[in-house]
Amino acid sequence: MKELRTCFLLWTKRILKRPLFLFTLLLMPCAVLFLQNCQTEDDALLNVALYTSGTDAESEEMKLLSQLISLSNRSIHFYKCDSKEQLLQDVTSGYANCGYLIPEHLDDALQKYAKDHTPFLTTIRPKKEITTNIVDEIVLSKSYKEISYYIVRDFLNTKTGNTLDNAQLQKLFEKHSSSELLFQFEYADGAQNELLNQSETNFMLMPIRGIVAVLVLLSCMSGALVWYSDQKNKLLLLIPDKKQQLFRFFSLFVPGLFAACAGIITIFLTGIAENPLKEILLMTVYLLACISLVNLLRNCCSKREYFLATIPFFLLASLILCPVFVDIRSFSAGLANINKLLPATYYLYALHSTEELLWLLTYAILAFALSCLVRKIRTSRS
Amino acid sequence: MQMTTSEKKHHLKIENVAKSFQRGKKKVLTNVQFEAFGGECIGILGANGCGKSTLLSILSGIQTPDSGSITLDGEDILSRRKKKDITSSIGYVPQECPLMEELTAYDNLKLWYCDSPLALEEELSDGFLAMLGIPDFLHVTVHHMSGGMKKRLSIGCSIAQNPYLLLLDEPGAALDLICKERIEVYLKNYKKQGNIILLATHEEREIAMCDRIYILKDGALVPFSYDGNIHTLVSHFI
Amino acid sequence: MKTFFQYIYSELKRMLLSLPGICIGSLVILLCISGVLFACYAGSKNQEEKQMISIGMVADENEPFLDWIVDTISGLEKTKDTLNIKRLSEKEADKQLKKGEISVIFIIPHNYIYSIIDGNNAHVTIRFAKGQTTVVSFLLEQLTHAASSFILNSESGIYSMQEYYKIHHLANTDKDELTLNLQYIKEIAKLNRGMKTEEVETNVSSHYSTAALYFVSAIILFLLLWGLTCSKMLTSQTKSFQNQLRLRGVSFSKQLFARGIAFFAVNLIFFLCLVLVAGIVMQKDTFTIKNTLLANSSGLWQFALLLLPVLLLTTSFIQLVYEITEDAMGGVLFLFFSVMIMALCSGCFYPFSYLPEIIQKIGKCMPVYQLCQYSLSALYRSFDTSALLLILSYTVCCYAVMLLLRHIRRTHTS
Repeated sequence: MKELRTCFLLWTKRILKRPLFLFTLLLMPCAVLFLQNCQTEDDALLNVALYTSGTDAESEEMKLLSQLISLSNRSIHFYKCDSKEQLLQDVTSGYANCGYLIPEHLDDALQKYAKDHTPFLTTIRPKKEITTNIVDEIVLSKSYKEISYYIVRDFLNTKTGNTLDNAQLQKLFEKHSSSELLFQFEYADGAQNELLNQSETNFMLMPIRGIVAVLVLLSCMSGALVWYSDQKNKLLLLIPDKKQQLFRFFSLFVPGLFAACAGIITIFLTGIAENPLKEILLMTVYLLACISLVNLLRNCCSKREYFLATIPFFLLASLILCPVFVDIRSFSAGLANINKLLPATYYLYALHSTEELLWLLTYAILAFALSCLVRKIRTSRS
Repeated sequence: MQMTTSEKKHHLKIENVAKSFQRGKKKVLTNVQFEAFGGECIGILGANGCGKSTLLSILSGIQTPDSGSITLDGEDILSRRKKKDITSSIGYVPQECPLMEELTAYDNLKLWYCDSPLALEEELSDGFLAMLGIPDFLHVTVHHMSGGMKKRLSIGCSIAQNPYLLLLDEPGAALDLICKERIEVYLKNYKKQGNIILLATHEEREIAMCDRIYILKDGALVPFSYDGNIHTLVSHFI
Repeated sequence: MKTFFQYIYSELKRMLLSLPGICIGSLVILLCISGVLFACYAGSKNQEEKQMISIGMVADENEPFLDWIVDTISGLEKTKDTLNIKRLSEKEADKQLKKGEISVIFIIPHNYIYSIIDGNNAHVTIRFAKGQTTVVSFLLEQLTHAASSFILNSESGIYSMQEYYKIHHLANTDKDELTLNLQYIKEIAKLNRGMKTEEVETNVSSHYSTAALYFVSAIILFLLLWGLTCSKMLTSQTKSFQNQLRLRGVSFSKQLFARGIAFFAVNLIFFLCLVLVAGIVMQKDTFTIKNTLLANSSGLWQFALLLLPVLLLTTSFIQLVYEITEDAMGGVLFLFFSVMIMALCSGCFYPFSYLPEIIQKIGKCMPVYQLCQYSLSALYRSFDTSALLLILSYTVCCYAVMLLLRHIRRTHTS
């Protein structure tokens, strides 16, 4: 126990004496805080410009405008233009992804649409722009209440021979109106997807979890580099082999632990964190998997240069093949099989799947067993 | 052992040189002054960490003193204008071995001999490099050399310019007896040519080789007359 | 001067000696990136132009109207080329979701349609894969609000009609209710007729295709991240060696410059090998980017030549990182993190226009952004002089910072 503690403290001191390593780890949460706070109301995924020539606050067009503007969130930001020319300019310049011209006397236009399907809205969008199709549905859904009313009104007018009691129908329609959400969201493991309920969740910070995972792996790898230097300097020559195992373990564990702690803090700062206990458990198992993998690599690579050569491979492979930014399975199923060799894959999938967590644990155990086997073979050969 | 006036070719003069670190908190050298003449070997002794290497690095031009003057043959070597001419006349063998680890001894020698008056091939076949035994490991990578080999190689690299002031910081450390003897022979020849040697050392053999000895104590150089009794010498360190 | 040139030669030799081990890793990276690009390109060639999103729908087999709803949605103008809805059992749907064959599952509860008719409004569950929430999920969430609005407002109309009929004792309630239902359904299906679209030309540099953007980003990221293998090449020489060189007239600036030349030469050899391999891959498979130098394989070498300033800056930056950190551990971490941050802020991962305004302003000052702009302009046969000048300025700045650091360290120790 005393040896364990001494070893741990020594390695921790060594890490603390590398200010740049600590600085880089601190940079992660600071960068996240900065990215979070730099986003203003105008910085959404899609910027949508609106214009109406109507001025009466009680008019349908102004109500529609207000409704849409109040819908603004991090995904879609609606804003009002002062003139049609400004709207055109914003779309042309790329500031707005698309724009909508809401006519004056929208109420009349909606009634006309309900009768003979004359278009009541004009959308301005760049050529070949398809991402904004989704906004059409949102805008139309906000006008649909009136259209729905006019449909039933016209229908009843036809059936009652134009003796419809409009006021009564209006009251009935309002009575039955609802703005409930008819969908609920969950993950494959049955857990509720809370993030979609939070309008403030920043989509830009979604890949942070993946980047944290890669950074933890990289920290373990840089710990291995220090180990190679120590070997070269014959630092542990006088220490018995059994005790050297502790040093071998801590050389990877301590930098990985620092990175993992910084990573957990960063994930919580982004607002994409799940249950704290779940996050800590996941990160712990992932750290063990990284240590096992790096240990295996270290045992396989007798020379520092060969180990160094594996670093960019694992980094790039983790960034591209693991679901850090995109899920590679949607592009190529073949490549998706390769990502099973990387611990970050299991870490990111284990978020909402106990099965994947067990796979991650299995990965850690297998990698560790392999690394012991390789070491034994090498020792017996030498 | 005093040198006669007729043998004095070069003249090194150090006056009131002081050096401190950590913004003056740690005074390493306070009032160093001495003179050395061509054909002399000056030994600088002192306890570990007393400032011997600092003094030699100041003389070589790597560090600048806080105050004082250093002249070599009447020219101020601290003046930047003259430095380029002067430093080519100074050879410095530091404690660490300034070598490129990944390259062979030959590659390292080529770097230092490319612009020097001494021909590398001549030295390797029949000169000082041959005396140091460098041809035996000429094509060995520095990374695979022993400490002694590295030391011999770094000494060989430092004399490439054929300097007339040679600064040696513990040159005999890690060397075998044969090499030490060879270096002693070389330094004696070097002295005879009217050059100056400044030697920071702890080796008894090297101390015996010196014409004059100074002990660096409390930041100042104190002259010491060595009678061959090492115990007397040690007592002066305290 | 001879010592200076000899030092360049020695550094070059030293770096080339380190190359074999690095080459193995670099070859692997190269194969990885080529493999990914090839697989993505092959994958996209096999699919239709617009990528289909596969949705699994889980519902009772005898759920009324559901097949008709699915056919109607699949047949809509906006969705027929983008959506592929499959009716599956829950087990099969979960299996396909796990494999990534479908993006999301819609679970329709038992007697859903009747619950809508009755006004009980059972909730549809949208099940995502076990990975993270993505941008697509957010946009889908927005769509569900729209869908809820269509359904609920249609319901309002129908219930209002029902109640009106009841109050006024009108006949044919059931028949008229069915007629109104069908009218509403048709209305939702054709609601986009309420919108007139005007398409405009934009000033935005959208003439850069997405393929070109990601291709260029991949090259730049690769060149920068290759520095992760170069720690042995670029770890600073010992202080005594640096001092000895200074004594021989090779000042700090010359030492850094010599190192830079040697490192650039090594990178150039590596880069040319990369181009050679890329040329072979391009000839084997018809990987091209339209309207660019890479429309055919002969333009590849021209593009490679134009990328030399990019190589210059990337090598300077890597050298700077190792000069700052002085050891392999810090260098590797710092290089990775700095490159990731710069790439994120420069639009390598997300389209630049998606980034917050303040990030866009910062991103434009970053070397990676200028590298991307210059590379894209070179690819499209235009020539962004301002980006090139900035790249050269950044290179000079890198050297200035390195020199400053050496002087500070020397002053600190002396």
